[in-house]
Amino acid sequence: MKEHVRQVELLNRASGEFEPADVFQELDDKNFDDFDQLWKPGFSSPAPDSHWDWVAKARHAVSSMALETFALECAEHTQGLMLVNLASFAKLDSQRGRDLVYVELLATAPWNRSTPSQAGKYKGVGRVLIATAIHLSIEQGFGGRIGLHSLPTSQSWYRVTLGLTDCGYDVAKDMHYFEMTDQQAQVFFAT
Amino acid sequence: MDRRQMTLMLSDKEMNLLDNLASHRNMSKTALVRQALRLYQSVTERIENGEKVFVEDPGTKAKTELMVL
Repeated sequence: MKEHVRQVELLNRASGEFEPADVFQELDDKNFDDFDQLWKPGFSSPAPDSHWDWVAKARHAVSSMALETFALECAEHTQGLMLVNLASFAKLDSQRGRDLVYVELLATAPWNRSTPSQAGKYKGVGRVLIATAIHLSIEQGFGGRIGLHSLPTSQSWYRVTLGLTDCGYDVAKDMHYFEMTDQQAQVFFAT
Repeated sequence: MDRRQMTLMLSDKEMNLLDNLASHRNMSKTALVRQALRLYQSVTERIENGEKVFVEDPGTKAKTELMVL
């Protein structure tokens, strides 16, 4: 059942004002409708995540103890979505084998994505969802450790802005793999 | 999230194992039991879907298939 997790704020780039937003655990029909009716028409054709079927993945997650979905809502619309897997283990040498929250999918709504000609509407969606994954990791006794594979366009954001460790290219996934240690999680919340 | 409570009766051997694993993994006993359930479900689902789960010896590279009945 969909459950409110916490209230946060997102920066509306156009107005310069922060607006209240809400993080929910488990998606519902409202999120599915937003994805089908608002997100899909807004994807530019080469969007690397436009094929992600959030509805099917969220429905599968309901029956799995390892999978959790989250939605970030603001101004009555779904601004971001995340799917995480809690049955995952660290690969980074300093924490190899320790439990972590693996971020399988994370996406912000098409209208929040900046292009060379236009800034996205809300800033902070990705950071809020990553913070949600870290909070979940702490709640589950995983110390804030998270892991994820990054699309090429997001690598510097994870490495430089969020402070995750780049574990290098993962041949199996054809993407770079990143991890956050428990110490990095503390730094994340301190900044 | 809704929570339901249950009482779990464990033998000394089982409780010692739970204590040791929780200590080793720096997790609470509750967190460890939850994670064990997740992993058991995950492995069971994969095998039921026709996938195979192996344990590999890093030295010999010999693989042992994990069976869940």
